[in-house]
Amino acid sequence: MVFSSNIFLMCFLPIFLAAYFLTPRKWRNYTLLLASILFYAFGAPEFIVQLLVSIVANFYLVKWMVKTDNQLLKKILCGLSVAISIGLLFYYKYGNFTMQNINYVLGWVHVEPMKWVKILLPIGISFFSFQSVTYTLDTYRNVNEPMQKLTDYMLYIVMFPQLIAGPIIRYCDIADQIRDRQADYADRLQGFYRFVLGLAKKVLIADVIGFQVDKILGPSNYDVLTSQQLADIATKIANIDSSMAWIAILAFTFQIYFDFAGYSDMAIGLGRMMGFKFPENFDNPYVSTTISEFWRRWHQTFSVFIKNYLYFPLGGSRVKTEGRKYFNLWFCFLMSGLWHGAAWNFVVYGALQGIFICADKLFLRKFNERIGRIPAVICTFAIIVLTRCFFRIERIDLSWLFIKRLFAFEFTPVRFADNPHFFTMMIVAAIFSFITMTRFGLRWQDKVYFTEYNQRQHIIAFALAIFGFIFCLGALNSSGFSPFIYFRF
Amino acid sequence: MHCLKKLNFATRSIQKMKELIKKSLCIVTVMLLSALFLQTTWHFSDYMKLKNDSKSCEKPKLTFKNYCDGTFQKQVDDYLRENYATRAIVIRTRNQYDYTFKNKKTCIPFLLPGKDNWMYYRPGVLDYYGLEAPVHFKSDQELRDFVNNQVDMLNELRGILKNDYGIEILSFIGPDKPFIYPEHLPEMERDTTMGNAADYFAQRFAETGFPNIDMKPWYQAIADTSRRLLFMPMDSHWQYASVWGYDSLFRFMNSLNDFGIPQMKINGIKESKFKGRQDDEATLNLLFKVPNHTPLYTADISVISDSTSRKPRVLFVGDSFIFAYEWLIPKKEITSYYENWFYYDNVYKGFDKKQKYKIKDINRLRSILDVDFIVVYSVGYQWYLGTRGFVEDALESIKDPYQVKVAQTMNRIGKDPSWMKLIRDKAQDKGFTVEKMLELDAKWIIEHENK
Repeated sequence: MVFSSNIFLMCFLPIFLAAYFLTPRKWRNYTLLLASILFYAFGAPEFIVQLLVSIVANFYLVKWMVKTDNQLLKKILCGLSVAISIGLLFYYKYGNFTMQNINYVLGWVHVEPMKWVKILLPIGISFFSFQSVTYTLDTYRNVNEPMQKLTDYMLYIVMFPQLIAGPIIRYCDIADQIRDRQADYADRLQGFYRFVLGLAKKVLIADVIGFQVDKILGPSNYDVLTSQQLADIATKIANIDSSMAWIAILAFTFQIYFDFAGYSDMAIGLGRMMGFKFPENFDNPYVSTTISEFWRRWHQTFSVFIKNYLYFPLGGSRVKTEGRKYFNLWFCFLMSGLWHGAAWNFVVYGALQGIFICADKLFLRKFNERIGRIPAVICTFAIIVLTRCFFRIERIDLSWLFIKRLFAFEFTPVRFADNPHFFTMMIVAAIFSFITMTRFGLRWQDKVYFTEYNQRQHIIAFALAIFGFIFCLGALNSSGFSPFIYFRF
Repeated sequence: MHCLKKLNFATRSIQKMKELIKKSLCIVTVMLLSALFLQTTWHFSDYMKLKNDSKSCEKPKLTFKNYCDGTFQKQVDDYLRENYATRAIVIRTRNQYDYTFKNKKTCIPFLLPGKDNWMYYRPGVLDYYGLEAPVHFKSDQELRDFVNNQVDMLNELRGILKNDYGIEILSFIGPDKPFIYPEHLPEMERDTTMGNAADYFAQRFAETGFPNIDMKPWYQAIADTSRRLLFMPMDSHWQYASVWGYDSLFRFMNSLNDFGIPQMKINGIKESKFKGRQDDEATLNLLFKVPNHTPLYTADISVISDSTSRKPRVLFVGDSFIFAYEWLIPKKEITSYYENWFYYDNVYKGFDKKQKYKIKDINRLRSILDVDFIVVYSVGYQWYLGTRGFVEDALESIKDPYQVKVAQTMNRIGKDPSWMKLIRDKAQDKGFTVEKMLELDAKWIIEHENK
């Protein structure tokens, strides 16, 4: 189930909210846990048992790890717990990719390929595996006490607002809130406003833009396509004119931001309605003046995870040689690229980001500082847009071809009137992406997101939120209406 | 001190009031969301209900199997998309926006807005401008060959039906709104390279002597002098004016074989009590009424019959103009039974229309042989599709003696109520439709009679 689905908005959310607020405070975690399990079981029934078993196993392994005084056993148990989470992630997410490559190499040396049944990817595995790892490692490092109740731990992993697409919440950031949290009426209301804002970002902006991107570049997941469909996409990309190519990749750059940031807003909003304070996931990433700054602003909880649980263990910047320091950085980005998807294009995407980060540390940042803020933002944005080609187009050869088309300089005029809805949303997306470069924009952002509302603001925001909610429902569903007429032709 | 206390009290009261407002907003939010859920699930209110809504989703049923393979989840999503609480108002708002701001764009692609808030069906308009024929045929000759072939087959069928079974078949060409009121049509470039199917059919029927009644010229002739509009501006269907058409039809049927069909007498035309929106306007599903539409009319009709009168059994094969017969004509006083093969796809048997089938699921020959008259009828632009396969299928089956025997045996059983009860019970036991069970029994009887 996803937040922008009919079943969530029209059935799950109303029933859950009513049940949650009617439950006495001390039982609310159980209501939330039950709802979360139902939430996951509805969308991925075949994986729910495996998810619950891995949670129970991890919980007791960590409990055992805390109890034992034997340091070696402690380390083994910690390793085992992490291995379960990462192992499941690797098996489900990278199993197909690994076997595909092994068989490719075997075919190359004329050896019979290994038999392998394609595995389905459990939804949200990249997120809940990481959360599970933070629990084990934070407890191992004595950052936090382990959970005493299995249900509390289960709730930390499967809590539905963040189960499918984050934010990735470190155990140490939320442990206390699971045990005890406060939410006054203002919090609940502002949580609802934030949820609707996220829904609007997803439904009204990202989905509208995404529809056009798919029309130009084909569907984003090439796994499901036939060879004929892939050939059609290749032909399409080979013949695309530069203006259309730039529009497509710019549109995708906005789509992915509004899609993901919208989802994070919905998660944060839902959490806030229940009294949780989830960490922010995006901080106006497209106004960054350097690539390093971009990664501090984009998918922040993931960046923090990579920093704490990969970069620092590798030695971080406190290493003997400069080369090692840059390798650590590059490697972290390579891994983060691979985390986004099991395909070579994501590896290239991560590697490129790593190279730009290293370049940033070496000279790019100084250059950007000299040219001034606006040119620096434009340069950084251009790098992001270009690297997004490898993110969107799942075949490296086609990504290269697409980049060539971007710089073929074969422009044809594009008219606003051809697709006014799409272009309007592009303009809206651009305004909201860059408006925080201005003081006015920043002030408004603070007012909308982070300031406590007064009475009048609450009433206005409430009316807008209710209207926005119904409007989004309409936008989600109204496009397919075609009345039945007894005349047919 | 007293003032301070008062101030404290006032501050606390304001604080409480503020908290109360927030609490109320929270409760209202949950209540509104719950109301959305309740309305989505149970549809308590029909407020602004959509007209002619082509909802195709059944309420999904949860089973372990369909839940595990994800079908249930998909069905739920599809069902909700078509049933969410605020759907009617959202769609009406969207349609109104398109209609008002996008040059009268409608949610029905084949509904064309004309001048002065008139509405037309697109194929009818294209037909008027000579643009519909090229949609179906490559050349005028091809269209003519098609028409000739269809009429020849109809004549062959007529010969068999009339000579062997005493059944009359005739055709009826209905008037098209664009040909009767072209002055409100949207402007288009006329194409004169090809002819018009209905005209070719009428011409060929006349040449070959196939009984046909063409209402177009007659309605064109009275359009200017009629006190009331023959077609409503926002309705593409025949309304009260159809009663003249049906009157002509029954008189024409009588003239073919002196059957003695009771005759209609039109006593007058009066304003209809129905104050709703006209058909096309209603189907546009807008928020507000389109201005300047004329009232609907109905006809006051009585039926004259005497001891020599006989009410025929009629099979209508055609388009939606049959609805005018159902709505406006005292059908039970004129026909003893009628069956409607709607676009040669859906089948409605009997006056109450409760027996509904798909054409492929019935024994068509059984119906053909069980009536006194077969009326093949359509409005002008529908004739590009001829009889939609009716004449071909009918000829094929009527030439096959075994199929004729099966159909006749089915009719024999069908006229025996006690036998039919047995058939119905058996059909229920075996999970077949009554029609299917009847056919199986008829075949069984024929096989055993042969032995």
